[in-house]
Amino acid sequence: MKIKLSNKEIGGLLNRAAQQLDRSTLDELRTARQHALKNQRVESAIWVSRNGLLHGQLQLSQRALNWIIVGVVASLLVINLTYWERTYEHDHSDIDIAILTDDLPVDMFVD
Amino acid sequence: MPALLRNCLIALFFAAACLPISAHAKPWETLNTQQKEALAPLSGTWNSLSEQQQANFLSYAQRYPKLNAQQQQRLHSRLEAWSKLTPEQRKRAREKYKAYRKLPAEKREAVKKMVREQQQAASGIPPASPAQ
Repeated sequence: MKIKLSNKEIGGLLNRAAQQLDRSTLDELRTARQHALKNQRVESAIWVSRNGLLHGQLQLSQRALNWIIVGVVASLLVINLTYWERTYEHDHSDIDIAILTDDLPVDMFVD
Repeated sequence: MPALLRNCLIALFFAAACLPISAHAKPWETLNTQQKEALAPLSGTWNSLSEQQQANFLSYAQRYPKLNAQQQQRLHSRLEAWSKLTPEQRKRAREKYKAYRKLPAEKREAVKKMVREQQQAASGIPPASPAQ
């Protein structure tokens, strides 16, 4: 026979049982609780569409989220720096002018 | 403010700060007289150049008044062909030129002499005989 208990009833039973525990066990439980709270996962809804077709939940600790954000920012930096490097030639006007005004024709230096 | 939201805002701020700032292309008509004179060979193709190419050539224009007449003439005669090279070709040309500049003076002179002779041979002019 299965007994179904609500969360509230389970809480009440646990409270009553806790009163019967000795001091050292209570201290251990308190320590374990604090540890669990410190590392608790934050539940954040990340994709919720109005039509409900797309939805999801990400369960990550605060620390993990921070690392993800750091990763995103670092990736953006790398992408942007690569973009600058590839798209924009640095200022080479000194050497360009020297090539374009030298005695030797430019063809000498062009592949 | 929740920590997650705060962190997201910080991340967005950094992302926005890192975004490349694009320069605006300048139509030929907006260049000043000195720039137009320095970049005259590019007048026909200027408006089709990329923003970065334009910025590069505008930096040439700043140096143009300091060049002597022969250098200005050379710059004008070579500018259009130079503008049509790819960034990679220009990069290779700069590397080669730097290597050439590192050669000892007598070797550079020998290269110049060889090139002069080749040009004269190509144009059908007999090479000048060395002074007796």
